[in-house]
Amino acid sequence: MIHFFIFIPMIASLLLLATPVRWREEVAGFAAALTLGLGLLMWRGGGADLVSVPWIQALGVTYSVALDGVSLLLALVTALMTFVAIIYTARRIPNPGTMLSLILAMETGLLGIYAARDFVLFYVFFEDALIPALLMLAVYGKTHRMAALIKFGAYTLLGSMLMLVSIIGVKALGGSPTFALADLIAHPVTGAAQMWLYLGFLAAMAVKLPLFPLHAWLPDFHEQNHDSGVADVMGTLYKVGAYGLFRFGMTLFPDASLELRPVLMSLAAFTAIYAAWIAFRQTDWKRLLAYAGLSHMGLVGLGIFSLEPTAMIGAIYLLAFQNVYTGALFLAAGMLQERVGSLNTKVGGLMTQAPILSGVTMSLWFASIAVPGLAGFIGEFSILLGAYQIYPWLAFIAGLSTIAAAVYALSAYQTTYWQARPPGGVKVFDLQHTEWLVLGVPLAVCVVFGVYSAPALNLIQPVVRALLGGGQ
Amino acid sequence: MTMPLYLLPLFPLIGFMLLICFGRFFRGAAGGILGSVMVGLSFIVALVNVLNLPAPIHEVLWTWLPNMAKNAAGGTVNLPVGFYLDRLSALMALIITGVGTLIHVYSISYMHGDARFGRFFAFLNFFVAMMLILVMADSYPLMFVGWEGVGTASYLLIGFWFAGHRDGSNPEGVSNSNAARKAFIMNRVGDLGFMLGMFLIYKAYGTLVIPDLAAMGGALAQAQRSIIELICLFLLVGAVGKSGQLPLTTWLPDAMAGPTPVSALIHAATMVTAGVYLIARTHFLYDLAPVASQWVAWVGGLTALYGAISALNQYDIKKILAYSTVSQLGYMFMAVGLHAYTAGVFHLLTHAFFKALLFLAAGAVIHALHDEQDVRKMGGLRKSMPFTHIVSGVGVLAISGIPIWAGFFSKDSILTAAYEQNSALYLIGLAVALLTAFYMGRWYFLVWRGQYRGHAKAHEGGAVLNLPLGVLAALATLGGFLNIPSFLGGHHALDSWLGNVLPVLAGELSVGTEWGLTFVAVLAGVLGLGLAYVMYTRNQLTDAPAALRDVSSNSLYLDALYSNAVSIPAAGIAGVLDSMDRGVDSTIESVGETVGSLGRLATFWQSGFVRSYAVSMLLGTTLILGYWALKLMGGLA
Repeated sequence: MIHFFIFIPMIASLLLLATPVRWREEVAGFAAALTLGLGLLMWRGGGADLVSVPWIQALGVTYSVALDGVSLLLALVTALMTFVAIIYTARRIPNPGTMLSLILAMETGLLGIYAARDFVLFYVFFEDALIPALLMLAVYGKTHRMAALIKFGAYTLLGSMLMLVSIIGVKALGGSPTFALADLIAHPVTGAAQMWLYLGFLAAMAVKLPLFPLHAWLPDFHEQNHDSGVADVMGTLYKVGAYGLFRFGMTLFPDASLELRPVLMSLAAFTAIYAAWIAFRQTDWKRLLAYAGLSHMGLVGLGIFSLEPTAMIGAIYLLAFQNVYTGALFLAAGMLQERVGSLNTKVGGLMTQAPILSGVTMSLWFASIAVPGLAGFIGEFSILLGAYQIYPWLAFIAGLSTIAAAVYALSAYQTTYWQARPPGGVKVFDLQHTEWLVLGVPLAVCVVFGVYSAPALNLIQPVVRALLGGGQ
Repeated sequence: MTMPLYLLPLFPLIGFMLLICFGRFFRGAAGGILGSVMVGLSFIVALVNVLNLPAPIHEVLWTWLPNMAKNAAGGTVNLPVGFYLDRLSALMALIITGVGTLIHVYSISYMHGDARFGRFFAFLNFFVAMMLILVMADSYPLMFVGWEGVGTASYLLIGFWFAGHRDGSNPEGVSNSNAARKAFIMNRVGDLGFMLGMFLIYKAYGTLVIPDLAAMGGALAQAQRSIIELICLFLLVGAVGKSGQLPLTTWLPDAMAGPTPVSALIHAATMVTAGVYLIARTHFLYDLAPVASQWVAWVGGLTALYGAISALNQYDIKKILAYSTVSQLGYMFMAVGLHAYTAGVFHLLTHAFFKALLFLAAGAVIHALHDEQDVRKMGGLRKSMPFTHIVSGVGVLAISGIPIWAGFFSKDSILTAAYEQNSALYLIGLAVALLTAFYMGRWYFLVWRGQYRGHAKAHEGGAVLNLPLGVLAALATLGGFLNIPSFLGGHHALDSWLGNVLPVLAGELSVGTEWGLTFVAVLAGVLGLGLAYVMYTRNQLTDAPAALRDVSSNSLYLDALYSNAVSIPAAGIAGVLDSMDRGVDSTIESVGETVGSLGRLATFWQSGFVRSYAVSMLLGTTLILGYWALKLMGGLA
């Protein structure tokens, strides 16, 4: 089942090219729904155990996939948000065949990243997801997309190259027979070499986390992507750096992780407050969301790097659910743009004419700035609490971002949604048709998992416990 | 018979859900009635439980946060969501649902005809639910849910007229929205303190469940003294933010931008007292932290003075009451800081009655005068609104500490505690009592006596408006008898009822001294009111002498200080960071901008004698206090 789960989107993506235009939305929607359904079935069945077969024997590459709790949760969120993105694409983008195809292709890459238990396979999926992301920007982007594209491509590819070197190095220096994760763990690299290999891997993951100072591609990437926000949802899902570090970094480079902990936690805490502070100055909703997401990722990084159980659980929790609300907020920005023709935060007065859209957007923002009772809080609070146990000052600095978050989110929200509609502005319509689903489902997820976290915690906790060696 | 505790927040939550999701089905006053009924049901549940409360009820529902609690064996387990009702939280629940129901009923009339009538009640219901979660939470994180939840509700309700009162006037909309945002952000500053407090509690004791911590008793003292002090100071930051104490006080007067029932419920009776509740709830730590407790008391004392001075020369009928709330909350902080927890909670109770009463009376006036809020354009309303006049008089007598009204008893118990422990705070408290009586006298005479100075045709508000006023007036009159001190022949009924939850200070004063203290306190109240009357007869009541007037009506320039010293530089720095992040092109330009905004900070000190003098005084006091506290605590690890 796990193989279908991973590859159905890719197959559907290729199938779309041969599908008559009028059925494309349906086929894409069906494929995404099927993937999500399979994921839920696997959740009921308790995940998927390791399947490992040789792939390129000469090089020791295997096809090893598994979905344990953490991977399953992130894969489910990916499948859910892809489904939501496809529904919105079908509504918003005229003749959306190419976009749908790219989204589905990217989904396979993302699901593969979470399922891969072979270092080379991980790399393959990692790059597989990159190509659709680049194409989306190239095909659907805005005026300055080429600059953004080059920035994005350059950062990612440079990181990937270093990662590839360190992947090869891990096997060569450790003496493992294959690239399968289990084999690599059994043949660890020690000493100074581990540190250098970790730094190589870290480069790629820090770009994709993203972590200051390797984040510069992110704001341009989001600002230049299509107005609908669909590509941004996929881009948000593609921020897999924290997962990569959790799955491969902490297990293959334990000593180096511990040694670099103060540096990395400082960088992450700085990223959190730095991005939040900049977000305050943004006048473009998508750029603002990019910085807001960056700030959250700083917190995720703080939790992952801390190696503290509560903080790591919180980091995975936040990583999973920030995809939901940040993604939904990008789509809400798309809806805003569709109505008033601008993404500028100074164009105001939506609340009086579109109260439901404005109210749902506000609730999603509350989830994003970690108002307790919504999903964002559990992650943020656990991260900060855990980080405080290690370095109180860093938790304090990162904690300042919760204040800054209120400042940037509410300031921009106020000028766009509150306050009177300017005289002569176009009449704004409220949520219509599938838009209810597109924003309603993510909001419901945020509420449910903010109040009743046990299903997600049950997925995360055993994995984190196992990773940190049983004891709490 | 007891009823499940989760019903308490559940009813208003259901009301909120129904009104938000199916608002269109509730036409006319139906939404308001639904909202009121839901809170009324909660009140019944609270009452039933309070009447059958031999021992605290602890209800555990489902798991929520990872690794933040301990099981019986001392192992780490996930933190559950649970509710805890003891006498302290029961009293709070009664206040919230009781006063809440009255204010809901009042709002049916007050908000009649508003375009978002149903949504108003949805938000009010949401607020009540969150406030109940706050007081009944069995763990600090769950309390934090309510804590930020009420902040969110307050944000929504302050900004309820986000586009101006009838969606018409954008300047008013902007200022309402700004007030809402300011409240949320300043609360967030406090919330960070609360969070840090929780982190440190977890570090020191490994659990965040309040009854578990309280049950540790003497074992709590095993943590380092400085850690306990620091926990208490962190929590104080949280309490200060939520309760509008110095230095995070400026949002509370601005919060008056919300509809008047909101000011009565949230910004007078319930939410802003959450800080007092937090400290009383955490008394087991504050008892071990003398320095932090001193801080609480001083923050309270100074804020009481600050609020009273600021209230002296306001013109907005609600702003006078808002600064008065700040000041009265200062009293409560002073009490809990002096470990007179029951006195603080007692004042919280009576204040909820008389301040809600005063706000609702002010609302009736505003309603009658078609949204006029300036006291200079009022006067002589006792003829056209006799009932509201009488209940307002009751409120003024109660807050001024005139026997037999409720404020007399509660203020007296706080002043007694201050007299026993700290004479400086006692003198401040006494001065504040005098000032309180004066500015409330000013409020009364300007609104109700003399000749009408406006143009509207005032009229009484009608039964739905008057019923809650009458009930609150009765409570403000009789509430004090719940806790009659022994020298007046009573038995400290409320103190001893709360005694099994909160430590009660043993009274060591002789009966003669107590009589003396009471006499002095009442004298202060009478003097204040008398002074107001004398100035009223001489027509000098509207404005104080110029120097005092400027200081007071600008509330000691605290807002200007924050704007120049924090907001503008922060925005400037954000600009620099932004251009740096985009690339170097525009960096140099924005560096200039930042230097400019920092320059504003410097010019601020030279912009006028009085304002910089007032601010310097304030800052100086803070610095001295800070130095003193750090010195006492020694180096913090």
